[in-house]
Amino acid sequence: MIRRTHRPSCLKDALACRQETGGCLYAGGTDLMVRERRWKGVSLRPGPDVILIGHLEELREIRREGDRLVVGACTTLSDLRSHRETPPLFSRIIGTMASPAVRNVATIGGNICNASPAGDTLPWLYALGARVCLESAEGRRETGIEAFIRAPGQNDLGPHEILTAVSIPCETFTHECHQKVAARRANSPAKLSFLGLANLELGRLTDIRLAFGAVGPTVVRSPELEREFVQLFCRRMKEPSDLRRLLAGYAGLISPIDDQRSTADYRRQAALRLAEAYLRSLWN
Amino acid sequence: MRTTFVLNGKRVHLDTDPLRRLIDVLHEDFGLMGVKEGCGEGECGACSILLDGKLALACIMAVGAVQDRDVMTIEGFAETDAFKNLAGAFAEAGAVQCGYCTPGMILAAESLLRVVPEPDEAQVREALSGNLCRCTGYHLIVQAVLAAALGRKGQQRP
Repeated sequence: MIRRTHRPSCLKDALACRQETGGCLYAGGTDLMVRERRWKGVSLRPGPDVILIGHLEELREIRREGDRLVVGACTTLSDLRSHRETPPLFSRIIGTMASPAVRNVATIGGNICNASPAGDTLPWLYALGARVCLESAEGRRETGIEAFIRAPGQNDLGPHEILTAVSIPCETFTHECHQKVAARRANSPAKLSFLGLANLELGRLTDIRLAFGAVGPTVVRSPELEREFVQLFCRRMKEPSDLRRLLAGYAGLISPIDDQRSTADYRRQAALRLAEAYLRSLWN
Repeated sequence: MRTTFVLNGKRVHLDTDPLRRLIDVLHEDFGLMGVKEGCGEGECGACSILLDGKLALACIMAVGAVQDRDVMTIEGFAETDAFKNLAGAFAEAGAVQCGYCTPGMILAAESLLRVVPEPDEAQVREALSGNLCRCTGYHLIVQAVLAAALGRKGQQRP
């Protein structure tokens, strides 16, 4: 059986088509075509209709709205990486993803909707408190990235909705650190990743955010532990036991697994070591 | 569904399932066998093409997604002076052994040189990072691309 394919010419038609068919969305296709591939010369597996949306101009815009950067869901990773408004560290993170040919086609919306624990843009989006814009023929809603992503491969996208944009606060940090641990530099999903962002000026820590990728069903971030660290830092209690307690807090939050890329034990140790090194770099 | 796109400079139309892989359409409907299939899942770069001038992979792209776009395969690129420069540099450097990865390598190199005419080695390695070669160990390919860039610069002198 051949799957029916729709190629709407504008977002409004795409939303109507999604409402009518509940079809599966094809933006860059770099995950869909691999996940549902079959042998040479045969189309995708039988399944729901497919709606091509990667060409829709409305979904490819990047614009500044006040103090937020609003990125259309079908913006390719390459376009986002090279855009002048994209923060340098986020550009570098995108540069660790897949390969040039895949980045030229794959989209930010796809990376979000796949909801992979190893999705490389996700720790950044969690750390910045990004919000996703979801539209259907009936209306529009916004929700936080951490509420949108539920579990590996599962998101909160309604059957009639399309993720149209992600809205990311524009903030700058004095101390930034991103580490992706992977087998090689290209085409290598993360074994684990760590992102640390902080504002530390004249010995005063005002803000810190830590996000861990691929060490749990979703990205791990804890505003509570972040606040606790700021307080500890303000009290200047440079006790090793404080750091240990904080890291024990994160050890309790992460729940890595064994799979073909790495082991739970390695992931846990490496993630906590990266966090420790980052926190120590602020402390000293 | 009817799909229309530009293939190697010529507008083409076909009635086919839009979810067929572009690589299958290029092989079966157009006989363009220079687009190689290695892994079939976007990991190896053997099926590289230029899509609107940028590198893309034909094995993980549905033909419906190239509607109204410009597709260039190694066969189309082989007609250009830029190809002669790159092919000459690959031959000179000994950057080809079995040749299976070469069409993809040449197009990956071209996609870099269009944007960065004078790349350094790190930029070349990044540009080729999605293209696997199991024969050469990459070093000679990187040297070939650097030499091709120098050659182009030489040609542009008055």
